[in-house]
Amino acid sequence: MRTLKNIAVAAVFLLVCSLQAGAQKGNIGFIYPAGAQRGTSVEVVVGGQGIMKATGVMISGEGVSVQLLPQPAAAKKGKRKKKKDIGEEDNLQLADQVRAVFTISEDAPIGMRDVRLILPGGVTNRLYFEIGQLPDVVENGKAAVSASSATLPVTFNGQIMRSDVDRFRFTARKGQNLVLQVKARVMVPYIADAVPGWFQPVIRLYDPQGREVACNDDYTFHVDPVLFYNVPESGEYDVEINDALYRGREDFVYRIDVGELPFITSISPIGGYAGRKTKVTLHGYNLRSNRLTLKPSKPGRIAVSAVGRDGIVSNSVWFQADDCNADEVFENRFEYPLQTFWYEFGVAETGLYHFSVLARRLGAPTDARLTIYDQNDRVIKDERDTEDGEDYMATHFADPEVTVKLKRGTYRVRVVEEQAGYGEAYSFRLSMGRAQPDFSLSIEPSIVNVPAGGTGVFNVLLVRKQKFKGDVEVGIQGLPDGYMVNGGNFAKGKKTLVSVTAPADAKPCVLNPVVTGRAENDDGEIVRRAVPVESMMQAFYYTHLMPMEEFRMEVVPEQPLKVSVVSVDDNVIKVHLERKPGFNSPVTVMLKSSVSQVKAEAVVVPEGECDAVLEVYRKLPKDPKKAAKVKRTTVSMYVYGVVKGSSKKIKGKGRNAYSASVTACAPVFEMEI
Amino acid sequence: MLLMLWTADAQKARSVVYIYLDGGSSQTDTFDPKPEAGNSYTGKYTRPIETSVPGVYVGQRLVKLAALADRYSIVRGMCDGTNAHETGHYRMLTGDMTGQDIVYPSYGAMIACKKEKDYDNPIFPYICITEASTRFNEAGFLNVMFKPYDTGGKPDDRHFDVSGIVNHEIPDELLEDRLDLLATVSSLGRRVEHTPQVKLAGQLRVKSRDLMLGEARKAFDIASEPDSVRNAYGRNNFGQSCLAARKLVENGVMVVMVRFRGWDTHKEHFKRMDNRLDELDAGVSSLILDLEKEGLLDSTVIVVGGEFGRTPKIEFGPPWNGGRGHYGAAFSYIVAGGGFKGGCVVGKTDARGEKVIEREVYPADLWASVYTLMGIDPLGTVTHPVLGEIPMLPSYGKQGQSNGMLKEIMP
Repeated sequence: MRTLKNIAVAAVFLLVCSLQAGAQKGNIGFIYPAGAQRGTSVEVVVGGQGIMKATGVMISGEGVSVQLLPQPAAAKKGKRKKKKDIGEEDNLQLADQVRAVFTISEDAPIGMRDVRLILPGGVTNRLYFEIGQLPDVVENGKAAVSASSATLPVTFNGQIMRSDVDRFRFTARKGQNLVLQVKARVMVPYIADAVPGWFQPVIRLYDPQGREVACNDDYTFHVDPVLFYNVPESGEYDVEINDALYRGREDFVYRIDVGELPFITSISPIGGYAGRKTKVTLHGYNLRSNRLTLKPSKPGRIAVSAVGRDGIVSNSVWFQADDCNADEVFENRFEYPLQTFWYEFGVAETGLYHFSVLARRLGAPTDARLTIYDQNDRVIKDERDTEDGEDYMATHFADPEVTVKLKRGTYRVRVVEEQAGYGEAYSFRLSMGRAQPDFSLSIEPSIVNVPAGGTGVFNVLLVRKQKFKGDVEVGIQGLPDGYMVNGGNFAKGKKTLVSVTAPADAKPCVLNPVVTGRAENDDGEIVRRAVPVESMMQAFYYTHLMPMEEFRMEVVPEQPLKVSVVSVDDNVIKVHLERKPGFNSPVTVMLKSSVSQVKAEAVVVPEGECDAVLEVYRKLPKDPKKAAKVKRTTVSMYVYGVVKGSSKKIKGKGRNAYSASVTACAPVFEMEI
Repeated sequence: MLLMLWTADAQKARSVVYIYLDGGSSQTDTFDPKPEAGNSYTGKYTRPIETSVPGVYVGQRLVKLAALADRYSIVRGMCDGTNAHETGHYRMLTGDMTGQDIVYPSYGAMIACKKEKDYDNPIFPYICITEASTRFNEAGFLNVMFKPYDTGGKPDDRHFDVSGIVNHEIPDELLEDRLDLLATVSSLGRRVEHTPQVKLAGQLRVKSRDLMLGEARKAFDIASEPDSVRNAYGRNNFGQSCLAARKLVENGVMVVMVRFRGWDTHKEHFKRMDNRLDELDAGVSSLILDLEKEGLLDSTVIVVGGEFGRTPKIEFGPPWNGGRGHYGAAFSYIVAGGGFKGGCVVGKTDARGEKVIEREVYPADLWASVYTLMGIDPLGTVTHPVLGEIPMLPSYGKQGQSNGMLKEIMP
């Protein structure tokens, strides 16, 4: 079992003692300020909903301690507006605020940390907090401009409310090569109820005479802007930030790093081979050296950054290390508009071949198009953008990939830049070779509650790569003795369900089991570790699976309700409820399956009663021809019972008191339907 | 599919009023309540009311409309298959499906174009109160004179100033002086070649002058209405917009759209619904009653609905906190007057209002029905400046995009 050695947990004992199955879980929407310099202490506000009973704060990585502050008296009385005053623009999901002091040690590693609040009943969703290198200045409330002129380098911190325009003043010297880097979307990548589904910052720079001298709203394909400016005269300069549409709300938090900061705009080449040295040229600003030699130890994508003056570390860019035994790999750069690259590819043996352009995923702005022609100049495949589910921050997948069956012969491959872009950053790597079917797995949600004597269920999602068709066997390691695992068969689908049932005498604790997938391909066994993910919604519609640092299984005390499947016969499931004495509430019994078309109508088991029957059916396409083609398949599913919580006032308790909801699951099973 | 035959004498209507519930209204809170679906679906609206038509229920806040159910029919089988505002607007406002080669003009521009010869009125044929600016509510490839005219202004203010026509701060004498001065200093019209476009611009200038200074502008004068009438519509912008729509119809305007915003209730839906529904109830019921009283209901089609419905299931968690999302699979419209029968229900949804289980009605079917009542053949063509004659309602009659006109409630 993996322990919590990498997780600094404030008040762990409180968490373990206070876990109660079925209590409400909260949600956090912002942390302000969104970061702080190492070697400092900062009071932060964590905003969200249902978080006022927070008992602690979890922050990933080492070197940060957290103290939750008592709620101010005013907040206890209720910060929320009265019901009748709530208008269209209010954001109840951000209205609750808790305060904490983050103390960051001098040697804390810089970078993004995961932050969650600990609540009775579990932990909240994750948000980011940055451990920075530069002194911080925090926005001065409603003042038009910061009260005093900051000394560079500095990080300005603020929060954009509706129609807000924040301004900060700093002193710059003639000849300085300034870099102004905004971090806003990286702090809160997706917002569910806003269009665009993130804070879209714009920054402007004003000279000592108040003239606008530079402006930026996007840096290459990144939402967060970056400005480069060579200072022509010494004096006080202002940097201004607002949302492109002058929207604003509490979760529009930002940090702006300003100074003669090292910043890499691109590297060349963008890739090399594992185990071999590659001399890399760095392009950018304020770099002490523009040469670097890399020798990656294993294939994959590695982050490259440089150290500038005063030991300040630059931004990161990606370098691709390819396996020197695999594929033909070519690296090129678009030097002029509409440049076309042609490659010849010989196929000695009929089979599946894979062609992949890697550019945008390495941080290059290139938007490539890949076309494969046969000997007769007929187009075999023409691909512009291939979705990459593992590139969770991307909303435009610009790199094309093709897996195609080719006969013996010679083929020509063309790569063009779709947007006629060119320049030193417009590199790409094209790999061509035999397909190597593979897969990746993710687990959703990343936090699962398992009651003692009860069951917790999670989804395992499968991405098949390069036409991988094999069976994937899901395994789970790191569970103590007595725990039972069910499910994990993908059949032909992309999703399966896995359940973990705890022994009746399980004590409340946190487990970090490892979920893996195992499969066979032509080269032998492939084992892949599943990545825990959490979904975030963008702009009312799109859902993105964001990777988390750990898969967390919270073992909680026994629930007053248990659900079990008595029998499965001819699409009819008989369900039995085991109630604790006195727990007589009506229970809604439902079915969830790994295939969305396989359903059962929910059944309400009346007060005090214990049996239910679910009838499973498959929703068929309207078109009879398509319906006739639907084959019987094995589907994993589970039954669960829900007793809803009440939001009504409970006599003798505060106005925010809720009666707890209870969700009890039965172990996953399979049915052919 | 058997398409209803169109005949020239099918015309019953002279005008159309489209009450556009911009943002998408909840079908289950309005005209297709599902009290049995449970709290997760009904929220606080658990007690629908029986209408004047036995066995037909509407949402509990639509008290006045419930009493008038014999005057309108409820179309519960509406579906446009999209959950995006832009595509929803396009589909509902044009009757065409998105993703085709040709972008179509809106229904109002199409009616104004097809009925151009029958329309002799100084007021523009297609008026939007107070703004048309949902995307795709345009004349498109048709002549610019068929585009919607936005009134602007606030009907609920003491003075309803209409953009370019009525401005209470400028006396007529001053306006005439200004127009004369403009004619004197602006020599462009005298110096450029008299192309058809220049001639049209000249005609429109004359028309505009007549509109600004003549009797026609009184069509917008809702302040002259007695307080009792104004109050019945509701003293709010929507209610007074309905009153303005009635006056425009009385003055012979062919198409009026009342754009009623604020139905896109992703968050805290119910806190906003009380007001919206009360305003809808008062405005639409008064419009129906007044048109009936004036003898105009039989010749005026009233259409009420938005670009889609809303998710029957309520989203309780943050950030929605009791909100409803977009839902194009099943939603409700009401239609009244102009030849549509009242007291009927067309289409049926399942127990939760999530799926149409009887009689799907597509946007093309709705507009084919309205066009027919206006004396326009929905299978007819319209002139495209490049492509020539093209179908005016291409989705009508196509599998998956049409299910036939609302013949159940048409003469």
